[in-house]
Amino acid sequence: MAKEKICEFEQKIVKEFASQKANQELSVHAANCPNCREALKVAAWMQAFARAESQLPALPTSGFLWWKAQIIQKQTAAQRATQPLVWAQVIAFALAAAAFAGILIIIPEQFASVWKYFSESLELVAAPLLISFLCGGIIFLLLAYKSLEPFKKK
Amino acid sequence: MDESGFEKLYEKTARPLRSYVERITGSATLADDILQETFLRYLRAPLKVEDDAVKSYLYKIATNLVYDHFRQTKRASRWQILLRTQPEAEIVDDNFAGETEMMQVFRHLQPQERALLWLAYVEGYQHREIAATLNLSVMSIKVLLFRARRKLAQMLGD
Repeated sequence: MAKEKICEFEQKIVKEFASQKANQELSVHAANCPNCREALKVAAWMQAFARAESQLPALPTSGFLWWKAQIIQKQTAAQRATQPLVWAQVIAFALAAAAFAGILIIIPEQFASVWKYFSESLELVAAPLLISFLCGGIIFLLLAYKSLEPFKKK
Repeated sequence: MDESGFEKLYEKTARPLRSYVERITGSATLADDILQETFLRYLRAPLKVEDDAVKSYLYKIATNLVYDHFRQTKRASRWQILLRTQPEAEIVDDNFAGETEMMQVFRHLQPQERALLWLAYVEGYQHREIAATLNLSVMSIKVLLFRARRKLAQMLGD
């Protein structure tokens, strides 16, 4: 790989030539320095490339971007404000689920006797009660799942 | 910053910034998206930037967004190659459809080289300004710019 010889006048020369203010000394240097000649050639090409825009694109208005930024800021603030509530919902769900599991594990006998009581004495009511209980459980789980959505989006 | 201040800044910087992004990405659609995201990030930025550094700050955000895009594209391409869901030729780059002859030359440079050349020779940035925009040291900028310039000069021929 060729050793990079960076000319200290390069930036100045490019700037002066671009503004057509190059003095005699710089012109002489540019003519004799291969790096500066190359820099001028590339600079001229780059400037022609920059000007070669076929059509000016339609940009969004500053008002639109300002409005969009305000909306995003409000959404972020609202999300930040409701975050403790979401956490509280998650904790409440976890505690309720743990309590329900505890009830089923710790007192299975009592649960069985309650079930027996229902099935024997309230045969007509037991089935609808069981169905309601299951539906309630499903709705509760769905609501809890929905409360986790803000976390999933992140 | 109030809305009128932002309007002035936008009028002054939006068009050159969009040209910069379009030339280094080769895609007008992507340039529009990155331009919007750049200004939105600027407006949401908690730190206040000095007036004379705003332009450089905007270019820095835009450059980072461009790099992020290229990183994501590269990662996605690797997965596509791995999964063989698409032929390799189609994966490479479809951003340059309908490009000019100059753009065809420019696309042979790496995105960082394109950014360097644009900032140095179109925007007229000093080495330290380019270094701040591209998160590199001034010495690295000098060397990288030299190499990018040589590469482009060789492509342009005599």
